[in-house]
Amino acid sequence: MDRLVLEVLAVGAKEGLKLSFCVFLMLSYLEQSGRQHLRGPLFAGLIAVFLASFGVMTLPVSPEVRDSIVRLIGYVFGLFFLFSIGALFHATGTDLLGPLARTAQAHIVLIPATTLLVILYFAPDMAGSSLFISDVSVMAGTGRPLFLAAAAGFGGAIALVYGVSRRYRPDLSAMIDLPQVLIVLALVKLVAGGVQGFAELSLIPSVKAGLMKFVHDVVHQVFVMLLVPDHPILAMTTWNFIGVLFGESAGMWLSLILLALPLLLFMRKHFSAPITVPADRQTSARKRIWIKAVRDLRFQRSLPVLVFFVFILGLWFQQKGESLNPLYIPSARQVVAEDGVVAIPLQSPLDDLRDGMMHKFAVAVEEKNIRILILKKPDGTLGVCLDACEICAPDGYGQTKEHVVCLYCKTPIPLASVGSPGGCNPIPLEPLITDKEVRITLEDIRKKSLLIQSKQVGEGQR
Amino acid sequence: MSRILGKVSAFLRSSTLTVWLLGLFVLYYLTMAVWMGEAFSRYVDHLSSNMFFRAFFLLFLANVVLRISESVRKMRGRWLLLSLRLPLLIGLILTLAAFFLSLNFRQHQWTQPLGEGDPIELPWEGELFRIVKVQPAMSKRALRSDEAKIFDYEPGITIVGRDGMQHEIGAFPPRRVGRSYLHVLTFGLGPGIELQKNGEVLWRGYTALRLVPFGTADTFSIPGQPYKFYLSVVPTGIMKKGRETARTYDLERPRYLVEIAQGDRVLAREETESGLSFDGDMMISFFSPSDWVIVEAVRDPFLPWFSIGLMIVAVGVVLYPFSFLLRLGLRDRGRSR
Repeated sequence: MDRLVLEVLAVGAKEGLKLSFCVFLMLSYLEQSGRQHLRGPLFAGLIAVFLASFGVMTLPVSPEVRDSIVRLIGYVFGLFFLFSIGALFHATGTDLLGPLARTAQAHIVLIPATTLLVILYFAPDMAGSSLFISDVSVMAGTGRPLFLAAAAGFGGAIALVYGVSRRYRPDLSAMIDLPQVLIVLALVKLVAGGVQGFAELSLIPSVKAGLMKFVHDVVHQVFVMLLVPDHPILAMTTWNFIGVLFGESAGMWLSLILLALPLLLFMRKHFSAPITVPADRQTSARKRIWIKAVRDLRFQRSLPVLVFFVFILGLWFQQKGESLNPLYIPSARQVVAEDGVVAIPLQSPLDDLRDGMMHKFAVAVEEKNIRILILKKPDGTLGVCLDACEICAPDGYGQTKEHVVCLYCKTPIPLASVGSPGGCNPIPLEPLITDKEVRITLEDIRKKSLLIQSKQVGEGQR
Repeated sequence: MSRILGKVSAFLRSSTLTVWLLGLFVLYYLTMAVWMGEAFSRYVDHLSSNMFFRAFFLLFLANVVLRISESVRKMRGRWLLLSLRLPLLIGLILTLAAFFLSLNFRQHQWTQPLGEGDPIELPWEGELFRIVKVQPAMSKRALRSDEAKIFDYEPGITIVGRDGMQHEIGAFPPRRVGRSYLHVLTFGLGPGIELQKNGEVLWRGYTALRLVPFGTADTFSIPGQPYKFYLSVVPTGIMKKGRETARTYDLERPRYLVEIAQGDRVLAREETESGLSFDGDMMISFFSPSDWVIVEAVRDPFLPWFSIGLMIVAVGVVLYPFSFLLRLGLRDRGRSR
């Protein structure tokens, strides 16, 4: 089967599974909590999500909107994780609503809140995956089979979940309350929130990177407060001692603690809360039965949290020792042209183009943002290219230790080949490299960028 | 009145307030990190300039202090448990309070690149110091392989005040001089340069440039002259042994790659240790370079408290988990009775 068809089939199936599983979970919760009246708002939210997905496939979508959709997915994971932690603490005796508790239960609040939360949860993933599918179909030049494959995957997954739920009728009522529903939703988002096809199935790398950035920033701030200078001038022994906190291992462990600590605190509170036996349970046997029932319920209610915790722990251990993100993909820094020339300093407070890492820049050419990549090659010279090749979708490149890798087709290209034309190599530019800066004419960028666009419009690339 | 005060006090020491404040911080951080970038540095900036953020932090600090004091009260009499838990709790309060006070009351100054003989003036100190010696971070005959570190030693300076007292200042930890803390933030080379026209000296002096790590190019101009000079340090020799390559640099008499431009026109480009002629009758020559440092100075009465707080937290992080073992042991003993 064609790789593209397989990929969109998998993307469709993933979205279908996510949607049907989460909706099944929500409906089960509404049923067991006696809130069936919220089914309508839930389905209204789903209709809005489908309309939004259809909209992004049929209407022109600006790069800013695309970027916002991708960011929104990570943001929504964070929000649901935060909501679930709040709900967990609320459920274990920390009254977070106080006098607002009654208002929060009112129909006028719950109905719009349900619809909004459903849209917030599903819309970014569905819209992001729809955009991915429509991009792939534009690139392939033959849209219909791909759309059909995606629809088949989506519909098949929904039918599967529906069939399983009808056949086995799993009773989740003992396990789920609102906090558990929220934490499972957050977990689903974390595991399957990626919208870049096979290249990015989950949100885990970006969540991990975000947490490690927080740890790094806190450590950096502490160093600034303590007047620690740039580490190259510190005596080795001093840096060996305090530099540990700046290392990747410390970042990994501390970020794991940040993510897991609220869950552990909840578990502790949940299991150590005193059990109050009702006064009508007179005999000790009946008291024991009551206590046993409460303990069982607590165990069942803690299962989703436990699953989340074990999952996170497993991921952290699995990736411990590996590099955080084996594929280094820097974000593009916007630069502007002056007198038809883009001048990028070799060294600035933001970048050192000769540090061996890939650097990306974006420049506006005829109202389009074109990305440029620059990196030092093994022979010491700089490779200056467009962040796109002539044969793939212009997803750009990432960097590993010895290669640049096309983000679309995953072809590894030796660093020495950067700057050579042809194949899946990034399209080379003709810069003037002085001792201070890299100078590229806008005309050169414009001319070379036509190579990408002309291929995108018509010719089959693969 | 006392009922209202009681309610306010109960609210301030409630776990509800802790969860809300932490939740709001996470929400702020998440929103900034996803949509704006650099969330933590923004937060720190706000903490030292925005009343709303200050009030928020102080409310959190009050909540932490009250909750900790309450839990300490509950542990009264159980001295072993208290001694295992108290360091972390006290350390947290001290660190958070000192962090906030430091951010809001710290006076801070970075100097220009300074060499021997240059003055350091600290406005809040009312004192003038002079650098009498710079201890370089590199040996005069430097050897660098691909994996080598950038500097050989931790640099330092010796300064002297009006009272004639000498102070040795290193990179870390900072040294207390009067009411200020000083340390060397970074170090560099200042090539000695002489510019001549027809043999007449137009300018002579040192220029602080960023030439380290070697190979880094920096630029300078000489006042009143239309030229731009690009300079980088190149090796005086290359040694190969097996697959290893090392480069030697003579920092008493460095070899420079010099490029001289006037507008878009390159007038000269040459590797030299002594100097070169350009543009007809012009000549640039080099003499032994000087070392320069940038010194960071702060006046911060809360810096020691912040450092002490961090140390206590570090001790507390080690001790605190033992308190769980102790409680488990006590519980088991209670059950066996």
